[in-house]
Amino acid sequence: MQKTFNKKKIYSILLILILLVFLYYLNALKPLEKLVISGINKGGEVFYNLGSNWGSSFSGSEEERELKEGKQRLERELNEMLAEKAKWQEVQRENDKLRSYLNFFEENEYNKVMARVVASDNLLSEDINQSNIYLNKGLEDGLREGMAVINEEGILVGKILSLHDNSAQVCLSINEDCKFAARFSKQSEALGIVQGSLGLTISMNLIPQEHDISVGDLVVSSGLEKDIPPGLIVGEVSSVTKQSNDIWQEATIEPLYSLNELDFLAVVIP
Amino acid sequence: MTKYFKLALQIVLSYFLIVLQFTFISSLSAPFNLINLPLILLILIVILGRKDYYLYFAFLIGFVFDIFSFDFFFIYIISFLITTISSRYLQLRFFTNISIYSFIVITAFATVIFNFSYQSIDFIFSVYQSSSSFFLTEAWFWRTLAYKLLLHSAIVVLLFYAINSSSRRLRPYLLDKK
Repeated sequence: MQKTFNKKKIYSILLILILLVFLYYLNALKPLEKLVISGINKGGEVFYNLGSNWGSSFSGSEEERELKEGKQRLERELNEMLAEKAKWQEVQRENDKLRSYLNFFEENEYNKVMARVVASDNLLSEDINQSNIYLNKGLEDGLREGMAVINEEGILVGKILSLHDNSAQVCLSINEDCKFAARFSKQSEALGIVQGSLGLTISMNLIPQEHDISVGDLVVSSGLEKDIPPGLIVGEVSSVTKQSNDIWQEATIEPLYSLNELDFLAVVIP
Repeated sequence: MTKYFKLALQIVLSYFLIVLQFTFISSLSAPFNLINLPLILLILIVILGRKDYYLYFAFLIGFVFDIFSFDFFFIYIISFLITTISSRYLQLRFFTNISIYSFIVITAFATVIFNFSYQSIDFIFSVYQSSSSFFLTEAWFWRTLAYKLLLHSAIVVLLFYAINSSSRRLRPYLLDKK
């Protein structure tokens, strides 16, 4: 009978595997890890944009593409204005506090670490509710778990889930496992937790009925989380579910960023 | 010397393929982002490679995947090893002829085994997390598995014809009766 496998080789591979697991958890593989990740980061700089641009260029004719680009440009401008509006509302709120606490307030200037998106997580996490992205910056750049990740318009895209020395895993705000402490920009007392929904939108539950929430209201980070500063835009309310016999109301929030345009992001260092 | 140079070249090429997988393939729009190029490479090595090459490559590819990913270290090495060993077994026992049908069947089998082993290990090690749900009852698992089967089979068919047109390796040996 033909010998199907060389058992000796399989056993030695298993032995090496056990040894590697030990070495990995003892951090003895760090130099190798660095080498591998830096290669993937370098590759990400070249190929990630190529892939996402390629994907988006397949949609429609030249005219449709131009229209789409125009729409995207306008949306970007609108988002910038919304970000500006939220920033001013935040400043106004802070100024109100300033009147009460004279000489107390000092406007916070946050440091940022710019990072490039080098990969996304759909190889095995096919579950669209759990899609994550990877950045080419990590522990060595001063990043910590839970830090906010924003795009160029200052819109909150997600937060850091876990870190390696030179890379970071970021959960997107549309991810069901990604939760943020948030509030409505107009009503700072209307606090809640926002959570991704179906990998497409964000939902905010348990909002007391007495708060008057309407479509178009901005939702921003509340600042109750240690590493996420207040006033970062999470999204815009697209629908409100309110029933007179309920204690709570629920809002669906539209994220103000496009997945295809996530290439350069900033991690906010509070 | 040439043997080692060849092996080094193969390792570098495999690494490049993994980089492409993480950076380029993952950024493509759905369902093309579900393609698993390293798995296809491993299937080719299982079918066409030398005796135990598939074991080394499964280990190497799994190791790089484990280093970059944020899952449990060893999950990819184990998944790739289970996949290649079982595919090799299937090939040696049932598909010794190198035909397009055996290519497709082994690819489909490897795709299913890889997804099952990865998801099973992930489920076992994340069972303490409240959000973890059993993958077999999830629609996304079956939907993406179907896409993967289609995409991987299509790629393997293309590769089969590409290899066939450039080399005699896949052509059957026929004895001419003179």
